[in-house]
Amino acid sequence: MSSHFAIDVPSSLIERGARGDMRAFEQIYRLFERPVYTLALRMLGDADEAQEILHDAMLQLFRKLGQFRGDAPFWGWLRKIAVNEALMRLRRRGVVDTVDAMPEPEDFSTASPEHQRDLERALGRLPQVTRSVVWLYHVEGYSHEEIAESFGKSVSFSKSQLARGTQKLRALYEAPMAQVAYA
Amino acid sequence: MPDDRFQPHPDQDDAALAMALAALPLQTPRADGFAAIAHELALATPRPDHGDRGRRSTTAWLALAATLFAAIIGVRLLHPRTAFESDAASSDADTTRRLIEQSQQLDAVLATIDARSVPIDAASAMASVELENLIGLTDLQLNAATRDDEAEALWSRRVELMTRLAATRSSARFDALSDNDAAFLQDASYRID
Repeated sequence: MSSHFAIDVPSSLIERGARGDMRAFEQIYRLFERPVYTLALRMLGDADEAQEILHDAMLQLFRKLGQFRGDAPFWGWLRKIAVNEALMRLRRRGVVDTVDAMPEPEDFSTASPEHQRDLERALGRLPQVTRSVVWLYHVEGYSHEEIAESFGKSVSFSKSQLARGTQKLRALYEAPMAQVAYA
Repeated sequence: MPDDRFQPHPDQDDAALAMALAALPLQTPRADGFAAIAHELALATPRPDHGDRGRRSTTAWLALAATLFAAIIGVRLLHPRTAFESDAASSDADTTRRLIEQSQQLDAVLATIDARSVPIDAASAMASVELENLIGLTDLQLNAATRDDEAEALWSRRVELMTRLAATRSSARFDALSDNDAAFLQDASYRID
């Protein structure tokens, strides 16, 4: 797991933020601005909504900063807030409850040779819930139990979403890897 | 026929996919959202009750505010023809010249206010920053302006923004005067030299 959130924040900075020090707030904001935005963008797939989630999550963070107990990493706490904000959006759209409406697999055969861009494009083509599960599991290191709890679903929901999403992404990822291996 | 040793194992494949996903670059928001958050937080934060301190500083506050108000109004009285009260008879060049003079005098007023380095509350600070940004934008537009009517409108805009900035800062500093400032200004208010 290599979450972009995994940033150590000095406790003194958190304490200053909890006391309402705007400079400390801003430092925390700057540290996590891009990880929160990226997570939101990966889950929602929409830049405007990702910007709104960044705003709402940071506002939540600063309002709750005094409640942070320090018994877990600060970044994990913030990530949880960001994930919850993104999931609230998905629920408002009703997509969490209609996850069976999966589109047919995309044809990646015409993908550009630039692999990262292909992968981003493929990720963007996944249904929102599937994409969120894939991202939370593979990048943020969530367990199936944590994903199930976050979505208010069963563990089998998490597993099936991951399997379907991973299968689609793998179709894209394996081809260039194979080309390298057999070259 | 490819060698089977190169076929990725499903678990390795998942790990490879996870690595590839994690290696995707961080995305950057299109807009800097911190100012909006700071503004919202400031609006939601109740102003502290200054109690006796607030009452003691009232006279001093009024003295400073009156001085600043007079300075701003003085600019208006000396140069009554602003964009708010356009004078069709005056030439564009005269109007623009007057607006530039008003702008310069407001610069002096702001320098007077800023010379008193009193901390101000977050809401006022954010409002000031926003106004400063708008003034900076207006300056950029002025540099690029090619037509007289365009320049006049921009100078008018600059005067309006600077008037609002002066009002915001003087009001905020009035709120934030410390006991020491108040005592000093009270003495100064009644001193006859």
